[in-house]
Amino acid sequence: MVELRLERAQFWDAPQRDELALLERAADDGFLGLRIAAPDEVDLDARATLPLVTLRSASLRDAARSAFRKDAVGVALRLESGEAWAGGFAREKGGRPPPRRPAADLDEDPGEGLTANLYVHDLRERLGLPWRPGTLRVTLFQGEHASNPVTVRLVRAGGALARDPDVAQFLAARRRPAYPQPVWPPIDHPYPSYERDEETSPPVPDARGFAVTLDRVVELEPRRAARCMLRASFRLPLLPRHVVRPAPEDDEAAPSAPREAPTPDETWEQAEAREAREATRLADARARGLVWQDVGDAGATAVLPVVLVACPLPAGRPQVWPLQVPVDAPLDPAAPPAEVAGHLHLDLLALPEGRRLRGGSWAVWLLAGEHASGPHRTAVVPSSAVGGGA
Amino acid sequence: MSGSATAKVKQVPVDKEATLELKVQGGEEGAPVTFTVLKVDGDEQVDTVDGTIKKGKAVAKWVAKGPEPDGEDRSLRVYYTCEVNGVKTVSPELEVYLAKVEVTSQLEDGSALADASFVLEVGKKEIKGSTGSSGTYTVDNVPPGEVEITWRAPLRLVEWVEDTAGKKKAKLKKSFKAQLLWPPEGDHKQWVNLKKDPKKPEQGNRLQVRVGVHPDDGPSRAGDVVYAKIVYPAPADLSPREQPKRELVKGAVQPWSDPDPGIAVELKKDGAEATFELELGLAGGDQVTVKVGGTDTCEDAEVTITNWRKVFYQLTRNKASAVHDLSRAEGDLADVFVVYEQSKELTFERKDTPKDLPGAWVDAAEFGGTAGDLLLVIGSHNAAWFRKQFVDDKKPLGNHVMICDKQYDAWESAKSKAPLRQLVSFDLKKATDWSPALDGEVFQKNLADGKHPLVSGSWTSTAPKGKPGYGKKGKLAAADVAVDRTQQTRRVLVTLPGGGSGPGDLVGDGTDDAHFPVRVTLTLTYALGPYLGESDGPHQLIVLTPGSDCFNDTITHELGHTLRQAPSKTNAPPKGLVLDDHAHRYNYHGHSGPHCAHGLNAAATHKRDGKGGVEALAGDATDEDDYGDLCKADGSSVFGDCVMYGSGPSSDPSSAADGFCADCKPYVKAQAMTTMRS
Repeated sequence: MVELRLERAQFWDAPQRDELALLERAADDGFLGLRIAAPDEVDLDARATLPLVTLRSASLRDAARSAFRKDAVGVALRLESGEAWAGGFAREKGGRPPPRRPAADLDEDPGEGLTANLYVHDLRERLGLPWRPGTLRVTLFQGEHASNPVTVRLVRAGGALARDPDVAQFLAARRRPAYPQPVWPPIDHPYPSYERDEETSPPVPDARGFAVTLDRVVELEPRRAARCMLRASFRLPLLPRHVVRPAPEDDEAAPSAPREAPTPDETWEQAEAREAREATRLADARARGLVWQDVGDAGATAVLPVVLVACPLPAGRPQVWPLQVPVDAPLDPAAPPAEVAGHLHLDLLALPEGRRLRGGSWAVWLLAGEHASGPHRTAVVPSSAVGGGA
Repeated sequence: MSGSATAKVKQVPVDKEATLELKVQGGEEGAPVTFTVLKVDGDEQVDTVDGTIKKGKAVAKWVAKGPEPDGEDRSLRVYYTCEVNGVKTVSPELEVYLAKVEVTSQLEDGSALADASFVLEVGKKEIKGSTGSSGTYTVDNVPPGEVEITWRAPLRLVEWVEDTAGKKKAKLKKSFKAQLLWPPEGDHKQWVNLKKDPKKPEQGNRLQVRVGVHPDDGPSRAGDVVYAKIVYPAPADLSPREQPKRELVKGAVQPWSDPDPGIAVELKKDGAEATFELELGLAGGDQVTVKVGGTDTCEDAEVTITNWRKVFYQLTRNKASAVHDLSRAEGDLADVFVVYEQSKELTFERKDTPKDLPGAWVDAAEFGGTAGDLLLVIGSHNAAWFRKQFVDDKKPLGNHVMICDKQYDAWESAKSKAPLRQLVSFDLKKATDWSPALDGEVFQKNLADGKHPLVSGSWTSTAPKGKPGYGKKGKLAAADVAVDRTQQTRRVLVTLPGGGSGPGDLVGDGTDDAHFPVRVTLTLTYALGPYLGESDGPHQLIVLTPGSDCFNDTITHELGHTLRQAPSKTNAPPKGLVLDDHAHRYNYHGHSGPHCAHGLNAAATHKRDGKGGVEALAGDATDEDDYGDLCKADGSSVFGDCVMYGSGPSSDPSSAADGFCADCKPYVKAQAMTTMRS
């Protein structure tokens, strides 16, 4: 089993020191897939990057179809809040490639064999991670492969104050609990739906996690509304911030409207960038649960963040959808339970805002905190491919 | 003439009564006496007056007669005499003058001009008047002396119709002709992104307009009022960029300028200029016409001001390279009102670069050229040195254009500092054969360190137990791995060593049950590319392609990135423009950074199937498509027609872009360009 083992400082100082050995080990083991490693802890004040080392090993055929830089996506979930970030690994330099050559350099069939690469990226830059304390659960996806998940603690080692547990307790007691996000995708008829269906909902698992069914093959028939149904039942941890509460009387003020003209020291571009940042502060505050929002489901007692990842097969850019799933289990907001069960029914061909699966094969995962389920396969077949004689 | 002339000359207005008095000898008290008034010059008689003798003096009251209003002179010098008992007595001189001056004002067509204000000056005395409703006014009590009449602003004298001692009739213009002092009349380019400079009024988005009085109408006068209004083109022809807001500073829509903003500036002193300020905004191509006049019709002069932007670049190149003419790029940039001005050129030769600069001077044979010739290769592994050659004396508008012959990246990024390596493990069925293709290109001397691309190599026989070669394995050396870029750029040619029992002797496809495939595992260094250019902040790397059009397009493309194109979430457009209004912007799709796919769907009919063939596209490209796979039926590449498309031809001018497309232009024009992307 290929394991990426690096000492914490090595991630920054010499992440590729053992590259050769790792690549050869992958070949020797015949490993196919993704392996990642990241530092277990990052001091936010001492470091400005979050290095991620990735070993990708694939069959020659898979590698010819799907390039890591194009088709891989990294997903980070913040365990304390359920916030999610996703990003790819394309080389964002504005480099202008010439056109693809005809297939002279490419094999029609590269044959049996394997290829492996070791990559080092700054996950903070790739995913746009906010540089604040928290525990991140990071997983990479490409095609039908998911990497091992890694957990990274972002901390402020700081001075004596930061290390004083009584101070931490004092601050935690004064911290206002965050609020849940609005349900997404919003409830519609007949889907999305978040209620238990006697006939179609999988049984809620006994242990924490997901139970998932996904239509395996769907024909895209234009004359009737084809559906590709993802149904899941889950038992997941419940955090106080997920619990639905009424709007507080002293609602936190939204950030003030940004100043419009540049300050004397600013250029117009700096002013525009500042405005753009300030305009997203409210959106960011909402995303972090700092601002109360109507969750959009009168019966919801909690809303849980779940991430849906769909990777096209054999190649293509994955799609990542941050779901906000309501549950209606009765609970006491003042003393919520540690976990809660719920359900979801999504038509993956009809998600709102243009986010939907298109024709082709897909590998689908559901993620929530430390829990993941997948890959689940589905194939969406155009009608033109169906029919004809045997 | 005789007589005493010891006293100061007495002055008497015409038609006023003056006392004539002469001391006489003899004559009875109350006896009549006749005075004769004569001109001093020529002794011509002017008048006679009857008087009497009183107490030894001949006295008479005389209503002064003198110059006529229609004459030239305002004054007449006279004296008077009388004769008593045969003795003639002569007076001192007397000056008789016209105290009234009739002033009349007319328009140029001869009709009366009412209420024309003027100042009448005689010596140091000033008398102000106005011609009133009739256009004529008689000024009284005008002292003797030369009369000067000045018409008050904004009236200007066309000519004196009548200019006599007592009558002044003037033809006047109701206003002066205004003259644009800055900017001059006609068309004016204002460099709105350049910093304001008092010595360079053509710079800055705030333009101070200076207006004076046309020389034909003399100098400006206190009280002159200059009128100006500004006229914009139709809103559709202006950028939707909102900030800063275009305006006539301190102006407003006036009744006389409606619907356009106008401003009236009164001059406070003679010789002054009228100034007012325009906020032009920052969008390139925006125009405004300024019309000025001495009246509120503003018809005397106009200037049309167009917003332009100027950015600068230092050209850094190999001394031996001849860069193409940049007319095409200049034209494309002019379409979006940008001038890209070379501020400096820095050339270098190999000897000027560090000896240990990795992968910079590469044998041309690697690229199919003449062995021994050197080509300049710049990429992630060595770009830092070339970037350091940038002397940014045009900050914040400076760019650095670096020209190279080839662009390859031998490191993942400039930060990684580690050569790109890939392991491939594959079966050979004959002693010499090609490896599978790597993710990038292989060189005889790796660009990162100049070494052979083989980092490590091994072989293992796949012969089953009991068959020749079973369990055998060994190492492969650099001598066993060759690079022949004339045939394959992404593969290496492996020759299994022979010598009787080497892998070369064991290898086969297994059909003879004696020779079996040999599993070869190689770790090789490679480089990503080739690219045509890249943009990173103000640094733009451009490959000197054979085709001039394509080279120019890359120049424009990379500058476009520095100018925050194509619009995207990270290249958020300025306020007033909406990101999603750009119908063809995209990220990814096989290209790095934000780009524009205008025209791509029209060109692409097929896509490569990844197996050496093509398949017809069903409709437009999808969100998941790699645009590099799109092609024509014959497999030839297709491109978008916008210069911001993510890829481009290296030499085929017929595939070159058409500059910035209609989707991109508004966003480029709206960019402030007061600082380059850092």
